[in-house]
Amino acid sequence: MLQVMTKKVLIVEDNELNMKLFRDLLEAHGYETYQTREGLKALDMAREHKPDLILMDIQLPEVSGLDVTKWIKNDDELSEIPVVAVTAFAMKGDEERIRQGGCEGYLSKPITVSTFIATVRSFLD
Amino acid sequence: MGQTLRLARYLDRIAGRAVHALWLGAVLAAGFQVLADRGVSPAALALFALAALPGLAGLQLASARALSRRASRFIMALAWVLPALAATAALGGPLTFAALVFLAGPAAMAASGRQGDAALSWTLNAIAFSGLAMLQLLGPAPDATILASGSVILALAGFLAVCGLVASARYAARLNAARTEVSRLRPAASAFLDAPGPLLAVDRDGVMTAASRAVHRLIPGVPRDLTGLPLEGLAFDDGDRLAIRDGLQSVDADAGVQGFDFAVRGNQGRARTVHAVQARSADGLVLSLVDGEAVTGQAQAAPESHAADHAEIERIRAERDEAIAASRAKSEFLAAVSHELRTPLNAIIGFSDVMKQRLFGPLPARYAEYGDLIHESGIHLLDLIGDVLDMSKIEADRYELVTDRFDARDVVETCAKMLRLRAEDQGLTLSTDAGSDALEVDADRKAVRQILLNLISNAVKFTPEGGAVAVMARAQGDELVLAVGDSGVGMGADELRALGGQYTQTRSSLTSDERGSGLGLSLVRSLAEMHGGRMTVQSVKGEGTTVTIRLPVLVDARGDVETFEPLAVHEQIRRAQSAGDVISQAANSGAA
Repeated sequence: MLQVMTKKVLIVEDNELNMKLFRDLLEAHGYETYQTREGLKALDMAREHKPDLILMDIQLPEVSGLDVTKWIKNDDELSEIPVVAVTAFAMKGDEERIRQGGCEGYLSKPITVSTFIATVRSFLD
Repeated sequence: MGQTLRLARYLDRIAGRAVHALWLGAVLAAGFQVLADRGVSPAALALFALAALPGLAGLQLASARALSRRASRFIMALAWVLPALAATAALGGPLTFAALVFLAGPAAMAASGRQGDAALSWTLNAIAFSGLAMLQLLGPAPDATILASGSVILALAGFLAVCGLVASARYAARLNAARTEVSRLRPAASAFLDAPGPLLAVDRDGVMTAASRAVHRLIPGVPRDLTGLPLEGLAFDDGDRLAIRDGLQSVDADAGVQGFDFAVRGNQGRARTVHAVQARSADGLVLSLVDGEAVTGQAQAAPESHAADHAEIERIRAERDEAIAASRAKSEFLAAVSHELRTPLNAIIGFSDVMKQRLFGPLPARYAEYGDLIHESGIHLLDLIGDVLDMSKIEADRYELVTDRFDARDVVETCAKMLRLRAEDQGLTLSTDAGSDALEVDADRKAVRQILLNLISNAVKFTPEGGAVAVMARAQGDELVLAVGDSGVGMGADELRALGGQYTQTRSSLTSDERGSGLGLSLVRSLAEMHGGRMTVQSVKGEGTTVTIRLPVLVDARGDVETFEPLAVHEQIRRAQSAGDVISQAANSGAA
């Protein structure tokens, strides 16, 4: 595996177990991960590490993942980074609402491993 | 009464002119006397010409009707003031005071439009002049000037007294006439004020002249006494002011009953829309008001019953709003709960999926099996949450039917195929009978499929090994009839009754294997009702259950109505069972 080619994924997720699941899955597939459980920190980390993809939980403490996505999309430096929402908001209309909020991708919880990896790959390969 | 009024008016007119004529006569008489005594001088001539001015002006104005009352009064006051000033300047002595006094009458007349006040001031004047004249006359050796002045004063006093009396008589007559008119109108007026509907009388200038008490019930917060206020003054904003102006004028433009809407400033300054229907009255308009928010056609038709029904409607509305709010709160709670359940489920399904896929290498067989079980249970839990979500969506009125045309027989076959494997695994036969003719319907395909899947999986779940499940679809009139029957555990009367409510599960009859969320059947009922249809459940404990759904969704209503009995499903089950390989004891007892 060519280390120089390693893609970086920032995970914004406030549930510890879900964070571990996403991290393990991504690292098993050769991605480098950065993690934060706070929306406010996500922006700083995105600036610092310049990830290739951001996985965004929507319901977060303090600020919503949609707010964070809006900040990212309004930031010239970060707006190019694709954001995939991974959320338990899985009711009718939620996907549309979240995509309109600026997220390029949408995955509903609970995830299936194959769809999760396929979606991540579609943005990184 | 009309005669008295006419007499008073006649006297008034005569007196009005007589005062001026007599004044003129008195001035001329005094003038001739003074000029004869003292000789003609330009100053004296000018003085007497000025003194004649009120008489001339008065006579002239009495015949000229073009001028308004106010203008006439102003000219008369001026005509009196000029000679009074001249007399003051020329004479001096007690007459200076007299000159001032004789300004008072006309001044009062000019200032007041009220006949009674004017009459009083004239009378007082007459008394004052008489007193002054007596002083003068009783004094030592009155000279010609004093005599002339005295005669003028006396004449004036007399005429003014007459004028005052006449004016009072006229005033009294008018007052009387007005009182009679009021007593005549009182019954009508109180009928107006106590009218059950909100009524407003408006004069030609748009000023309110009366308001029925119901107006205050319709628009709480408007001034208690509306009489004398312009209707426009109630307007909420400038737009409403215009609406009122146009509304009042529109009835003038073309006669007949019309209506217009405007918002008024009600309680706490809140806007309240009112619909007004105008009708002409003798001296303006009568407006019948209706609550603008409640105008839907029928409100206009029965303004009388409106006020009486209002409180009742308000009460029912409040109860309804409360029920809706409670239902919405429940649905939102369910939606929030399912969101919270999905979050840990993500870890359960996700990690067990990782194990299932051996993502990090091989797993001992037993652990692999446990991993699979965890994953399976997770998926089952997810299905239940899906039911909760669907249910809460329906209750929050967020579930929208998407209808299209399709053959219901296809859906029956698809659903049966999806569940046939599971049924066979449990040792059950699953048969379908959708008739030979196409069942074209205009319905939500997803909903119909959900109905059938829920009913069939319920039937499979509650039927012991060796039993049978039958699905039947028929057209009856304009209804698509779907029935799912089983030879399962069945339900007692109490359990059946409990199904009337939502979220009821007949737990008492279940073994630990026969799990159900109770949501499935509620969902079926809701989906059927959204199509305007209904659900019936027939069940015999120990024999089986048949659920029948009737949906008025057939594209072509069938003229020849086929008799359809849910129990026909049981007949089908009996046939299926006698043809089947495995006939259990339970099934036998159900068929007996």
